[in-house]
Amino acid sequence: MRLGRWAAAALFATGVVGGSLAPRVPIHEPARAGGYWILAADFHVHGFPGDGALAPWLLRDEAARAGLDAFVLTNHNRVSTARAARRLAEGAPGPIVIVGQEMTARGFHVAAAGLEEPVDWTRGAVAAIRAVHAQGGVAIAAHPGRDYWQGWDDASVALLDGYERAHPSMRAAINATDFGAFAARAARLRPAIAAIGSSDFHSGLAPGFCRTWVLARERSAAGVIEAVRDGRTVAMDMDGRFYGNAEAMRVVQEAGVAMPAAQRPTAWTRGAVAAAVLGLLLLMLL
Amino acid sequence: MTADVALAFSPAATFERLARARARGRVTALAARLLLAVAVIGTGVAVAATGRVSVELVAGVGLSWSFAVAVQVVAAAAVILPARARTVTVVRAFELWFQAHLPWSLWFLLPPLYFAVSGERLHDSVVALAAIVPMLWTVVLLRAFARRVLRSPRIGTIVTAHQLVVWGLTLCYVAYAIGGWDRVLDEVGL
Repeated sequence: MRLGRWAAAALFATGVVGGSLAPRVPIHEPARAGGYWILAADFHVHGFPGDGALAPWLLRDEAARAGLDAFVLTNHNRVSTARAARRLAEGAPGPIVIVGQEMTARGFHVAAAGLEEPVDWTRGAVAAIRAVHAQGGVAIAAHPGRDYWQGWDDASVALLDGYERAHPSMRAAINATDFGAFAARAARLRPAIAAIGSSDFHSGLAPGFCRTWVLARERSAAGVIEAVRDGRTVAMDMDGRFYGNAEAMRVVQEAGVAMPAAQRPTAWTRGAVAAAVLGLLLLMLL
Repeated sequence: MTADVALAFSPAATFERLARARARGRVTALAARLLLAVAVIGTGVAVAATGRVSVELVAGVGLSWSFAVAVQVVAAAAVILPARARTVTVVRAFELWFQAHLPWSLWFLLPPLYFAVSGERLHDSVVALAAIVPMLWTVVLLRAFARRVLRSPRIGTIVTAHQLVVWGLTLCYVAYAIGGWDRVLDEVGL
Protein backbone atom coordinates (compact mmCIF):
# COMPACT_ATOMS: atom_id res chain seq x y z
CA MET A 1 0.00 0.00 0.00
CA ARG A 2 2.79 2.40 0.95
CA LEU A 3 4.58 1.60 -2.32
CA GLY A 4 1.35 2.24 -4.20
CA ARG A 5 0.99 5.67 -2.62
CA TRP A 6 4.55 6.57 -3.53
CA ALA A 7 3.87 5.41 -7.08
CA ALA A 8 0.71 7.56 -7.16
CA ALA A 9 2.62 10.59 -5.88
CA ALA A 10 5.29 9.95 -8.53
CA LEU A 11 2.58 9.78 -11.22
CA PHE A 12 1.18 13.13 -10.05
CA ALA A 13 4.67 14.69 -10.04
CA THR A 14 5.36 13.25 -13.50
CA GLY A 15 2.20 14.85 -14.86
CA VAL A 16 2.93 18.26 -13.35
CA VAL A 17 6.59 18.29 -14.34
CA GLY A 18 5.70 16.87 -17.76
CA GLY A 19 3.21 19.70 -18.26
CA SER A 20 5.99 22.18 -17.45
CA LEU A 21 8.11 20.71 -20.23
CA ALA A 22 5.55 21.51 -22.95
CA PRO A 23 6.99 24.04 -25.42
CA ARG A 24 6.70 27.64 -24.22
CA VAL A 25 5.07 30.19 -26.44
CA PRO A 26 7.50 32.92 -27.51
CA ILE A 27 6.58 36.45 -26.49
CA HIS A 28 4.54 38.09 -29.24
CA GLU A 29 6.24 40.83 -31.28
CA PRO A 30 3.67 43.31 -32.51
CA ALA A 31 3.51 44.42 -36.13
CA ARG A 32 3.86 48.01 -37.34
CA ALA A 33 1.66 49.63 -39.94
CA GLY A 34 0.62 53.14 -40.86
CA GLY A 35 3.12 54.56 -38.39
CA TYR A 36 1.54 52.72 -35.45
CA TRP A 37 2.31 49.73 -33.30
CA ILE A 38 -0.52 47.26 -33.85
CA LEU A 39 -0.94 45.92 -30.34
CA ALA A 40 -3.16 42.99 -29.42
CA ALA A 41 -5.02 43.94 -26.26
CA ASP A 42 -7.73 42.57 -24.02
CA PHE A 43 -9.57 45.27 -22.06
CA HIS A 44 -11.62 43.05 -19.78
CA VAL A 45 -9.87 40.34 -17.74
CA HIS A 46 -10.59 39.14 -14.19
CA GLY A 47 -7.99 37.79 -11.78
CA PHE A 48 -7.51 36.37 -8.31
CA PRO A 49 -8.17 37.64 -5.66
CA GLY A 50 -11.52 38.36 -7.23
CA ASP A 51 -13.78 36.15 -9.32
CA GLY A 52 -11.02 35.23 -11.75
CA ALA A 53 -9.23 31.92 -11.25
CA LEU A 54 -5.65 33.01 -11.85
CA ALA A 55 -3.32 35.09 -9.73
CA PRO A 56 -1.74 38.09 -11.50
CA TRP A 57 1.57 36.46 -12.40
CA LEU A 58 -0.20 33.42 -13.91
CA LEU A 59 -2.63 35.65 -15.75
CA ARG A 60 0.20 37.51 -17.46
CA ASP A 61 1.68 34.20 -18.55
CA GLU A 62 -1.69 33.17 -20.02
CA ALA A 63 -1.99 36.53 -21.78
CA ALA A 64 1.47 36.02 -23.30
CA ARG A 65 0.48 32.52 -24.45
CA ALA A 66 -2.57 34.03 -26.12
CA GLY A 67 -0.36 36.44 -28.09
CA LEU A 68 -1.50 39.57 -26.26
CA ASP A 69 0.70 42.65 -26.00
CA ALA A 70 -1.40 44.28 -23.30
CA PHE A 71 -4.33 43.49 -21.03
CA VAL A 72 -6.43 45.41 -18.55
CA LEU A 73 -7.16 43.68 -15.26
CA THR A 74 -10.71 44.71 -14.44
CA ASN A 75 -11.92 43.13 -11.23
CA HIS A 76 -15.37 44.10 -10.03
CA ASN A 77 -15.41 47.47 -8.30
CA ARG A 78 -11.80 47.36 -7.11
CA VAL A 79 -8.29 47.90 -8.44
CA SER A 80 -6.10 46.24 -5.78
CA THR A 81 -5.45 43.03 -7.75
CA ALA A 82 -4.69 45.03 -10.89
CA ARG A 83 -2.23 47.26 -9.09
CA ALA A 84 -0.49 44.18 -7.66
CA ALA A 85 -0.36 42.70 -11.16
CA ARG A 86 1.24 45.83 -12.56
CA ARG A 87 3.82 45.89 -9.77
CA LEU A 88 4.70 42.22 -10.36
CA ALA A 89 5.11 42.87 -14.07
CA GLU A 90 7.54 45.77 -13.68
CA GLY A 91 10.79 45.10 -15.49
CA ALA A 92 9.82 41.60 -16.65
CA PRO A 93 9.26 40.83 -20.34
CA GLY A 94 5.69 40.14 -21.33
CA PRO A 95 2.38 41.88 -21.95
CA ILE A 96 1.76 45.40 -20.61
CA VAL A 97 -0.48 45.26 -17.53
CA ILE A 98 -2.97 48.14 -17.27
CA VAL A 99 -4.85 48.83 -14.07
CA GLY A 100 -8.60 48.77 -14.52
CA GLN A 101 -11.89 48.13 -12.82
CA GLU A 102 -15.19 46.69 -13.99
CA MET A 103 -17.63 49.15 -12.53
CA THR A 104 -20.44 46.77 -11.82
CA ALA A 105 -23.86 48.22 -11.11
CA ARG A 106 -27.34 46.86 -11.67
CA GLY A 107 -28.01 48.87 -14.82
CA PHE A 108 -24.58 49.08 -16.42
CA HIS A 109 -21.13 47.56 -16.44
CA VAL A 110 -18.13 49.66 -17.48
CA ALA A 111 -14.64 48.30 -18.07
CA ALA A 112 -12.42 51.21 -17.07
CA ALA A 113 -8.74 51.23 -18.04
CA GLY A 114 -5.89 53.44 -16.89
CA LEU A 115 -6.90 53.93 -13.26
CA GLU A 116 -4.91 54.40 -10.08
CA GLU A 117 -7.73 54.44 -7.55
CA PRO A 118 -11.09 52.64 -7.44
CA VAL A 119 -14.00 54.55 -8.93
CA ASP A 120 -17.31 55.03 -7.15
CA TRP A 121 -19.89 53.26 -9.30
CA THR A 122 -22.91 53.93 -7.11
CA ARG A 123 -23.92 57.34 -8.49
CA GLY A 124 -24.83 56.31 -12.03
CA ALA A 125 -22.96 55.86 -15.30
CA VAL A 126 -22.35 59.56 -16.04
CA ALA A 127 -20.69 60.22 -12.68
CA ALA A 128 -18.68 57.00 -12.93
CA ILE A 129 -17.37 57.80 -16.42
CA ARG A 130 -16.46 61.36 -15.37
CA ALA A 131 -14.54 59.90 -12.42
CA VAL A 132 -12.64 57.61 -14.79
CA HIS A 133 -11.77 60.55 -17.04
CA ALA A 134 -10.63 62.57 -14.02
CA GLN A 135 -7.99 59.90 -13.44
CA GLY A 136 -6.88 59.97 -17.07
CA GLY A 137 -8.54 56.65 -17.85
CA VAL A 138 -10.96 55.49 -20.49
CA ALA A 139 -14.44 54.03 -20.00
CA ILE A 140 -15.74 51.14 -22.10
CA ALA A 141 -19.33 49.85 -21.98
CA ALA A 142 -18.99 46.19 -21.06
CA HIS A 143 -21.11 43.52 -22.83
CA PRO A 144 -23.83 46.06 -23.66
CA GLY A 145 -26.70 43.65 -24.15
CA ARG A 146 -30.28 44.51 -23.24
CA ASP A 147 -29.84 43.33 -19.64
CA TYR A 148 -27.59 46.38 -19.14
CA TRP A 149 -29.40 48.97 -21.24
CA GLN A 150 -31.41 50.50 -18.39
CA GLY A 151 -28.33 52.32 -17.07
CA TRP A 152 -27.32 53.72 -20.45
CA ASP A 153 -29.09 56.98 -21.17
CA ASP A 154 -27.91 59.10 -24.10
CA ALA A 155 -25.81 61.38 -21.87
CA SER A 156 -23.76 58.48 -20.55
CA VAL A 157 -23.30 56.84 -23.95
CA ALA A 158 -22.04 60.16 -25.33
CA LEU A 159 -19.33 60.21 -22.66
CA LEU A 160 -18.03 56.71 -23.40
CA ASP A 161 -14.58 56.17 -24.94
CA GLY A 162 -15.39 52.68 -26.18
CA TYR A 163 -17.87 49.81 -26.08
CA GLU A 164 -17.45 46.07 -26.33
CA ARG A 165 -18.39 45.18 -29.88
CA ALA A 166 -16.88 41.69 -29.61
CA HIS A 167 -17.41 39.58 -26.49
CA PRO A 168 -17.72 35.79 -26.01
CA SER A 169 -21.41 36.17 -25.07
CA MET A 170 -22.18 37.20 -28.67
CA ARG A 171 -22.22 33.47 -29.49
CA ALA A 172 -25.85 33.86 -28.40
CA ALA A 173 -27.66 35.46 -31.34
CA ILE A 174 -29.64 37.82 -29.12
CA ASN A 175 -26.44 39.31 -27.71
CA ALA A 176 -24.90 39.68 -31.16
CA THR A 177 -28.03 41.59 -32.22
CA ASP A 178 -27.97 43.72 -29.06
CA PHE A 179 -24.29 44.61 -29.45
CA GLY A 180 -25.01 45.67 -33.03
CA ALA A 181 -27.90 47.87 -31.85
CA PHE A 182 -25.71 49.43 -29.16
CA ALA A 183 -22.98 50.02 -31.76
CA ALA A 184 -25.39 51.98 -33.97
CA ARG A 185 -26.57 54.07 -31.04
CA ALA A 186 -23.02 54.70 -29.80
CA ALA A 187 -21.84 55.74 -33.28
CA ARG A 188 -24.70 58.24 -33.48
CA LEU A 189 -24.01 59.77 -30.06
CA ARG A 190 -20.23 59.58 -30.10
CA PRO A 191 -18.95 59.11 -33.68
CA ALA A 192 -15.28 58.55 -32.72
CA ILE A 193 -16.06 55.85 -30.16
CA ALA A 194 -13.61 52.93 -30.04
CA ALA A 195 -14.77 49.42 -30.93
CA ILE A 196 -13.39 47.02 -28.35
CA GLY A 197 -13.04 43.24 -28.32
CA SER A 198 -12.70 41.63 -24.89
CA SER A 199 -12.65 38.13 -23.46
CA ASP A 200 -14.14 38.91 -20.01
CA PHE A 201 -11.81 36.12 -18.92
CA HIS A 202 -12.53 34.53 -15.56
CA SER A 203 -11.58 30.91 -16.25
CA GLY A 204 -11.74 28.54 -19.20
CA LEU A 205 -11.73 30.53 -22.43
CA ALA A 206 -8.34 32.17 -22.88
CA PRO A 207 -7.59 35.87 -22.45
CA GLY A 208 -7.77 37.43 -25.89
CA PHE A 209 -10.53 35.02 -27.01
CA CYS A 210 -12.06 38.19 -28.40
CA ARG A 211 -9.49 41.00 -28.64
CA THR A 212 -8.77 44.53 -29.70
CA TRP A 213 -6.16 45.66 -32.20
CA VAL A 214 -4.88 48.96 -30.89
CA LEU A 215 -3.13 51.42 -33.17
CA ALA A 216 -0.71 52.85 -30.62
CA ARG A 217 1.90 55.53 -31.10
CA GLU A 218 4.00 53.96 -28.37
CA ARG A 219 4.23 50.51 -26.78
CA SER A 220 3.08 51.49 -23.32
CA ALA A 221 -0.02 51.67 -21.16
CA ALA A 222 -0.28 55.37 -21.96
CA GLY A 223 -0.05 54.60 -25.68
CA VAL A 224 -2.89 52.07 -25.41
CA ILE A 225 -5.12 54.44 -23.42
CA GLU A 226 -4.48 57.30 -25.84
CA ALA A 227 -5.40 55.12 -28.81
CA VAL A 228 -8.71 54.15 -27.23
CA ARG A 229 -9.48 57.77 -26.41
CA ASP A 230 -8.87 58.66 -30.06
CA GLY A 231 -10.88 55.70 -31.38
CA ARG A 232 -7.87 54.02 -33.05
CA THR A 233 -8.97 50.45 -32.40
CA VAL A 234 -10.43 47.47 -34.21
CA ALA A 235 -12.41 44.82 -32.33
CA MET A 236 -12.03 41.19 -33.36
CA ASP A 237 -14.43 38.45 -32.36
CA MET A 238 -13.64 34.78 -31.77
CA ASP A 239 -14.22 33.98 -35.45
CA GLY A 240 -11.73 36.63 -36.61
CA ARG A 241 -14.33 39.18 -37.79
CA PHE A 242 -13.32 42.83 -37.52
CA TYR A 243 -15.42 45.72 -36.20
CA GLY A 244 -14.47 49.40 -36.11
CA ASN A 245 -13.95 52.45 -38.27
CA ALA A 246 -12.89 51.90 -41.87
CA GLU A 247 -9.52 53.65 -41.60
CA ALA A 248 -8.41 51.70 -38.53
CA MET A 249 -9.53 48.44 -40.15
CA ARG A 250 -7.55 49.26 -43.28
CA VAL A 251 -4.36 49.75 -41.22
CA VAL A 252 -4.94 46.57 -39.22
CA GLN A 253 -5.56 44.56 -42.37
CA GLU A 254 -2.43 46.08 -43.90
CA ALA A 255 -0.50 44.79 -40.87
CA GLY A 256 -1.80 41.31 -41.67
CA VAL A 257 -2.90 40.51 -38.14
CA ALA A 258 -5.03 37.50 -37.42
CA MET A 259 -6.46 35.59 -34.49
CA PRO A 260 -3.84 33.03 -33.40
CA ALA A 261 -4.82 29.48 -34.27
CA ALA A 262 -7.06 28.08 -31.53
CA GLN A 263 -4.84 26.34 -29.04
CA ARG A 264 -6.38 22.91 -29.02
CA PRO A 265 -5.03 20.78 -26.19
CA THR A 266 -2.20 18.64 -27.48
CA ALA A 267 -1.73 14.97 -26.67
CA TRP A 268 1.18 16.02 -24.47
CA THR A 269 -0.82 18.51 -22.38
CA ARG A 270 -3.75 16.12 -22.07
CA GLY A 271 -1.41 13.31 -21.07
CA ALA A 272 0.15 15.53 -18.41
CA VAL A 273 -3.30 16.44 -17.05
CA ALA A 274 -4.33 12.77 -17.04
CA ALA A 275 -1.18 11.72 -15.16
CA ALA A 276 -1.56 14.47 -12.55
CA VAL A 277 -5.26 13.76 -11.96
CA LEU A 278 -4.87 9.97 -11.90
CA GLY A 279 -1.94 10.34 -9.50
CA LEU A 280 -4.11 12.32 -7.09
CA LEU A 281 -7.04 9.91 -7.43
CA LEU A 282 -4.77 6.92 -6.82
CA LEU A 283 -3.36 8.63 -3.72
CA MET A 284 -6.87 8.33 -2.30
CA LEU A 285 -7.56 4.84 -3.58
CA LEU A 286 -4.29 3.08 -2.73
CA MET B 1 -10.54 -0.27 0.13
CA THR B 2 -8.53 2.59 1.65
CA ALA B 3 -9.73 4.43 4.72
CA ASP B 4 -10.42 7.52 2.59
CA VAL B 5 -12.82 5.57 0.39
CA ALA B 6 -14.31 3.63 3.31
CA LEU B 7 -14.97 6.94 5.09
CA ALA B 8 -16.92 8.24 2.13
CA PHE B 9 -19.19 5.22 1.85
CA SER B 10 -19.38 3.97 5.41
CA PRO B 11 -18.55 7.02 7.50
CA ALA B 12 -19.89 6.05 10.92
CA ALA B 13 -18.18 2.65 11.16
CA THR B 14 -14.95 3.93 9.62
CA PHE B 15 -14.68 7.02 11.85
CA GLU B 16 -15.31 4.73 14.84
CA ARG B 17 -12.60 2.32 13.75
CA LEU B 18 -10.04 5.03 12.97
CA ALA B 19 -10.67 6.89 16.22
CA ARG B 20 -10.19 3.68 18.22
CA ALA B 21 -7.10 2.67 16.26
CA ARG B 22 -5.13 5.80 17.15
CA ALA B 23 -6.07 8.59 19.51
CA ARG B 24 -3.01 10.77 19.11
CA GLY B 25 -2.48 12.72 15.93
CA ARG B 26 0.67 13.33 13.94
CA VAL B 27 1.42 16.80 12.72
CA THR B 28 3.20 15.42 9.66
CA ALA B 29 0.17 13.32 8.73
CA LEU B 30 -2.10 16.33 9.10
CA ALA B 31 0.28 18.47 7.05
CA ALA B 32 0.24 15.80 4.32
CA ARG B 33 -3.59 15.85 4.35
CA LEU B 34 -3.65 19.63 3.95
CA LEU B 35 -1.02 19.48 1.22
CA LEU B 36 -3.10 16.90 -0.65
CA ALA B 37 -6.12 19.19 -0.44
CA VAL B 38 -4.06 22.09 -1.84
CA ALA B 39 -2.75 19.86 -4.66
CA VAL B 40 -6.28 18.76 -5.54
CA ILE B 41 -7.54 22.34 -5.67
CA GLY B 42 -4.43 23.54 -7.52
CA THR B 43 -4.79 20.85 -10.17
CA GLY B 44 -8.55 21.13 -10.57
CA VAL B 45 -8.62 24.92 -10.85
CA ALA B 46 -5.51 25.08 -13.07
CA VAL B 47 -7.06 22.70 -15.60
CA ALA B 48 -10.43 24.47 -15.45
CA ALA B 49 -8.76 27.83 -16.06
CA THR B 50 -6.12 26.93 -18.66
CA GLY B 51 -6.51 23.31 -19.78
CA ARG B 52 -2.95 22.61 -18.63
CA VAL B 53 -0.88 21.60 -15.61
CA SER B 54 2.64 22.71 -14.80
CA VAL B 55 4.66 23.16 -11.65
CA GLU B 56 4.09 26.91 -11.75
CA LEU B 57 0.37 26.62 -12.46
CA VAL B 58 -0.47 23.95 -9.87
CA ALA B 59 1.71 25.55 -7.19
CA GLY B 60 0.53 29.08 -8.00
CA VAL B 61 -3.16 28.21 -8.17
CA GLY B 62 -2.88 25.92 -5.13
CA LEU B 63 -1.21 28.69 -3.16
CA SER B 64 -3.78 31.27 -4.26
CA TRP B 65 -6.78 29.09 -3.52
CA SER B 66 -5.35 27.59 -0.31
CA PHE B 67 -7.61 30.07 1.47
CA ALA B 68 -10.37 27.53 0.69
CA VAL B 69 -8.47 24.98 2.79
CA ALA B 70 -7.97 27.64 5.46
CA VAL B 71 -11.75 28.14 5.53
CA GLN B 72 -12.15 24.40 6.11
CA VAL B 73 -9.58 24.54 8.93
CA VAL B 74 -11.43 27.40 10.63
CA ALA B 75 -14.78 25.61 10.29
CA ALA B 76 -13.29 22.36 11.63
CA ALA B 77 -11.71 24.24 14.54
CA ALA B 78 -15.09 25.75 15.36
CA VAL B 79 -16.53 22.29 16.04
CA ILE B 80 -13.45 20.33 17.16
CA LEU B 81 -12.03 22.68 19.80
CA PRO B 82 -15.20 22.99 21.90
CA ALA B 83 -15.90 19.21 21.78
CA ARG B 84 -14.89 18.09 25.28
CA ALA B 85 -16.13 14.49 25.01
CA ARG B 86 -13.89 13.51 22.09
CA THR B 87 -11.54 10.60 22.73
CA VAL B 88 -8.87 11.73 20.27
CA THR B 89 -6.46 14.67 20.38
CA VAL B 90 -7.17 17.88 18.53
CA VAL B 91 -4.58 17.05 15.86
CA ARG B 92 -6.05 13.58 15.36
CA ALA B 93 -9.54 15.05 15.04
CA PHE B 94 -8.32 17.43 12.32
CA GLU B 95 -6.52 14.54 10.63
CA LEU B 96 -9.70 12.46 10.60
CA TRP B 97 -11.83 15.33 9.35
CA PHE B 98 -9.46 16.08 6.48
CA GLN B 99 -9.44 12.38 5.63
CA ALA B 100 -13.13 12.76 4.74
CA HIS B 101 -12.33 14.78 1.63
CA LEU B 102 -13.35 12.34 -1.10
CA PRO B 103 -16.62 14.04 -2.19
CA TRP B 104 -15.02 17.43 -2.79
CA SER B 105 -11.84 15.88 -4.23
CA LEU B 106 -13.90 14.01 -6.81
CA TRP B 107 -15.75 17.21 -7.63
CA PHE B 108 -12.44 18.95 -8.27
CA LEU B 109 -10.76 16.08 -10.16
CA LEU B 110 -13.45 14.47 -12.31
CA PRO B 111 -13.91 17.50 -14.64
CA PRO B 112 -10.16 17.63 -15.47
CA LEU B 113 -10.16 13.88 -15.97
CA TYR B 114 -13.06 14.28 -18.40
CA PHE B 115 -11.05 17.00 -20.15
CA ALA B 116 -7.96 14.76 -20.38
CA VAL B 117 -10.02 11.97 -21.95
CA SER B 118 -12.27 14.00 -24.26
CA GLY B 119 -10.28 17.20 -24.89
CA GLU B 120 -13.44 19.17 -24.03
CA ARG B 121 -14.25 21.11 -20.88
CA LEU B 122 -17.50 20.47 -19.02
CA HIS B 123 -19.75 23.51 -19.05
CA ASP B 124 -19.35 25.68 -15.94
CA SER B 125 -23.03 25.35 -15.09
CA VAL B 126 -22.77 21.54 -15.10
CA VAL B 127 -19.80 21.66 -12.72
CA ALA B 128 -21.53 24.21 -10.50
CA LEU B 129 -24.73 22.15 -10.39
CA ALA B 130 -22.75 19.01 -9.56
CA ALA B 131 -21.46 20.71 -6.39
CA ILE B 132 -24.76 19.84 -4.74
CA VAL B 133 -23.48 16.23 -4.44
CA PRO B 134 -20.38 16.96 -2.28
CA MET B 135 -22.35 19.58 -0.33
CA LEU B 136 -24.92 17.01 0.80
CA TRP B 137 -22.39 14.18 1.07
CA THR B 138 -20.25 16.31 3.40
CA VAL B 139 -23.19 16.84 5.72
CA VAL B 140 -23.59 13.06 6.00
CA LEU B 141 -19.87 12.71 6.79
CA LEU B 142 -20.03 15.56 9.28
CA ARG B 143 -22.88 13.92 11.17
CA ALA B 144 -20.87 10.71 11.50
CA PHE B 145 -17.78 12.70 12.53
CA ALA B 146 -19.73 14.55 15.22
CA ARG B 147 -21.14 11.32 16.63
CA ARG B 148 -18.14 8.97 16.38
CA VAL B 149 -15.12 11.26 16.74
CA LEU B 150 -16.37 14.27 18.68
CA ARG B 151 -18.75 12.05 20.70
CA SER B 152 -21.25 14.86 20.79
CA PRO B 153 -24.96 14.37 21.47
CA ARG B 154 -25.70 17.68 19.69
CA ILE B 155 -25.22 16.56 16.12
CA GLY B 156 -27.55 19.17 14.64
CA THR B 157 -25.75 22.01 16.42
CA ILE B 158 -22.35 20.86 15.19
CA VAL B 159 -23.51 20.47 11.59
CA THR B 160 -25.21 23.87 11.68
CA ALA B 161 -22.17 25.60 13.22
CA HIS B 162 -19.77 24.01 10.74
CA GLN B 163 -21.88 24.81 7.70
CA LEU B 164 -22.53 28.37 8.89
CA VAL B 165 -18.79 28.99 9.19
CA VAL B 166 -17.99 27.39 5.82
CA TRP B 167 -20.73 29.04 3.83
CA GLY B 168 -20.59 32.31 5.77
CA LEU B 169 -16.90 32.76 4.95
CA THR B 170 -17.48 31.56 1.39
CA LEU B 171 -20.28 34.09 0.95
CA CYS B 172 -17.99 36.85 2.26
CA TYR B 173 -15.40 35.94 -0.37
CA VAL B 174 -17.99 35.76 -3.13
CA ALA B 175 -19.31 39.18 -2.13
CA TYR B 176 -15.76 40.56 -2.21
CA ALA B 177 -15.07 38.92 -5.58
CA ILE B 178 -18.17 40.19 -7.35
CA GLY B 179 -17.67 43.76 -6.21
CA GLY B 180 -18.50 44.03 -2.53
CA TRP B 181 -21.58 44.04 -0.34
CA ASP B 182 -22.58 47.39 -1.90
CA ARG B 183 -23.06 45.59 -5.19
CA VAL B 184 -24.93 42.71 -3.57
CA LEU B 185 -27.34 45.19 -2.01
CA ASP B 186 -27.59 47.12 -5.30
CA GLU B 187 -28.46 43.93 -7.20
CA VAL B 188 -31.29 43.13 -4.79
CA GLY B 189 -32.55 46.72 -5.03
CA LEU B 190 -31.52 47.98 -1.55
